Amino acid sequence: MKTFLVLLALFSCVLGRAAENPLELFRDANQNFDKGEYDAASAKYGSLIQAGIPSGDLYFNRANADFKAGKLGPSLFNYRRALELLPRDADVKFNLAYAREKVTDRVESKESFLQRLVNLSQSINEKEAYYLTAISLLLFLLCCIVSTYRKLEWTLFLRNSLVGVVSLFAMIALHHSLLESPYGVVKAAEVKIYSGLGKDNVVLFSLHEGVECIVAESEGDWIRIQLADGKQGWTKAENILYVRAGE
Amino acid sequence: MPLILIFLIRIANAADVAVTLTADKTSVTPGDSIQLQVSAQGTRENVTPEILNAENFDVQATGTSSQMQFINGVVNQQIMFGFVLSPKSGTKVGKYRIGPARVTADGKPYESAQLEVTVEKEASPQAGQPRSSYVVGEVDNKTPFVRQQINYTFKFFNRSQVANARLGLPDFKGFFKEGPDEQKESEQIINGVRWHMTALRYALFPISPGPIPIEPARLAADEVLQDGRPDSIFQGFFAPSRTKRVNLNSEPLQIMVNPLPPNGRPANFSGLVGEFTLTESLGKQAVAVGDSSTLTVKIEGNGNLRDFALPELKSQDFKLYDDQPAFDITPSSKAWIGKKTFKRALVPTKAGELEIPPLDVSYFDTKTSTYKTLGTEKLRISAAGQLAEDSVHHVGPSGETNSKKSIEVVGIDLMPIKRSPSALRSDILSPYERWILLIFIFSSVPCYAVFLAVKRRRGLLMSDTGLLRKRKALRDFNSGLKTLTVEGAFFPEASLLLREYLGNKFNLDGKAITPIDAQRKLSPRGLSKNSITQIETFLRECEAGQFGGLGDKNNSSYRDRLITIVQEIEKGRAGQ
Repeated sequence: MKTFLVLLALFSCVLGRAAENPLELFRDANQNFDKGEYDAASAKYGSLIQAGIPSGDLYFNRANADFKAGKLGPSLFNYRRALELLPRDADVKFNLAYAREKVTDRVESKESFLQRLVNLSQSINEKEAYYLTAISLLLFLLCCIVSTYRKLEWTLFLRNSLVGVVSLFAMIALHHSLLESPYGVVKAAEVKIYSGLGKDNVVLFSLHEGVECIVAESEGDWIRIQLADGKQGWTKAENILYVRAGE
Repeated sequence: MPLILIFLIRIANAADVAVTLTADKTSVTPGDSIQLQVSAQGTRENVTPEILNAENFDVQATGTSSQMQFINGVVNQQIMFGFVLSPKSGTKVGKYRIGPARVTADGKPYESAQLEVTVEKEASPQAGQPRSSYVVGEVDNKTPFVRQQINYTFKFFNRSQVANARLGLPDFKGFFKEGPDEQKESEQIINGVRWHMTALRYALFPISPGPIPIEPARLAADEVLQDGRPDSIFQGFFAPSRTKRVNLNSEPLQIMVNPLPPNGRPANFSGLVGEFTLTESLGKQAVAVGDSSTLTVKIEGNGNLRDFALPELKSQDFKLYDDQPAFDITPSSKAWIGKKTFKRALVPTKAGELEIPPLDVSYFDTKTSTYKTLGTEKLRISAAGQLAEDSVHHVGPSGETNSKKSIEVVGIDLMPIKRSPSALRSDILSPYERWILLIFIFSSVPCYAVFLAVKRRRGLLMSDTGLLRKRKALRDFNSGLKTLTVEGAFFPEASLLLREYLGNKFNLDGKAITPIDAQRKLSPRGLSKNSITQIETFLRECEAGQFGGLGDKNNSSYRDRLITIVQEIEKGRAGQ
């Protein structure tokens, strides 16, 4: 017990102020935001996220601070992260749409039927998908157990329906965990996109701050990005905000 | 024959990697270039060379090749990196030391020696031998107003064939850029010389007043050299083409951007600068109240219309729904012409001849250097009927609608930040949660399978009476033994206890077993003769005790014998 307390104290010291009193830091950040100190507010929301409180609301607040500070790229990136965690939050959707209107480049989306289905699955976040899978599986097993003792019509119907429900939630959880492509947002004012790795290649097109893309692959400090309209090319990783593997 | 010069070969570590830096020549003019080669020998790593002290030169990589030699059983790999070195614009005439080339392998740096390069003054083309290619970057107006369109044109003139061209355009910092248009090619005769010209054009809109520089445009290409024997019949068929790398830079430009005059600026100045036209049209002229008609407004001109927003239309007679505007920009012979189309759905809220207020758009006319205002005509729409009860635009109970004013949105901003402390919850799965849920999900099906197996086994057990009796035989015996007292009716109870045990154990009617038929009934069940004899003897003695009156003094030993018999049967020794 004594060892545990010592370790706990050390851990708290390492996490710093954010872990010592996250609520106080959160209130500080809100005050900075109210005073128009958007960079300071963004940094504090970021510290809270880094300290192990990855909440959709914190990403949303940070995105608001970035937007007010004129950082469109980081703002859009944080709205996307907030939407990932709070997929049905109307405020996040509104602000994301509002920020997207400020982006210079227009990218026409070519969404297939399958892509639309995948987008529907985005209305549930990963955590919800896992819990819903577990809960529906538990209900399914209870129905199975009940139906082994009493073959009532409603238990059989419920059991068969729950097979579909469990499969659906499991697929969504699987999609979130393994199949989701990492997205990125252009953070530099203007970025040249090359046909290959290195600046010796042909410049295919230029993108401006705030354009959203899929990060298809990375090679050293270069990444291959893909736009919603199918355009793709290589650029320096430092130009794009994206979640790196393992983060 | 090209002069191949090999400068220093210094081996940093003779046992490891040797780096060499070679060049095809040592002197260069501002428009010319030198072919450099960095060779790394003895490394198998995917190394990237670095050429130091080349600040006054543009260094471009041209490619990599490798060579592997197998000599006396030893593999020796050599990687060659090609570079083109050309003086930057503004580099002074003189001698420069380039290098060393540095390669880092296994964490250790290996360097070549330096290379001396002389930058010479560009020789003026001799009469009859003009330069074979050059580039020009030019603008049509060097003193524009803020946000006024200027056209930047990049032109490449060449007389000989070129290949592998790479164009580096300026960043156009301080401008909003549109374009380029399609590449245009033409033939031009300049000072009696025929040139092939390739041009690209951009529209630039200066963002702020003051001087704004435009950096030189750069073009690097391989120029195909003439062999000097134009009458040779083999030229072009069998003779291989020789190429020379050329690096061409245009002159830098300086744009002096004028601010817009403050005098005469209208209050509703939209920020547009240029020349524009404004048109407005209405879809349906007569509609029912609650139905919509589309008002289309088009603005067209050579200013930056991409960010232009239409002035708000204020009317209590209509509800207005703006569509997403469509923007298009196309190059004309003199300038880029932008066109933005706005569509608004007008929904009359009352019947009658309704007037659509005219629109005013103010802009700065660069032709006359004055502010001007474009206006539209008043349009009329005829609305008939009454607003339907179930109309989506109807607000409030019936009869009150006309007296109430619809909410007018005058501004849009972000939704506010979240202030609740609940914002500090975690919305992602912690590793522990993930593992617990995964273990539950993946173990639930096997658990259910185990449940089914246990249930099935219990079902089988319940249906097999013999097995059920056999399993409870010892349990019943032990509980009976606890109530067996050595006083009183010991013998009949002990006899009954043993017979019931045997009945349960072998699925027989235990009470019906007697010393006489014990042999017949128990022998087929696998019990040995000795055990059966012990059982017969015990049962007989119990009968004797019950009816002959043996007394209570030896009851304890009978009890022990009973236990021994049962233990023997349970251990399976009875059957041996």
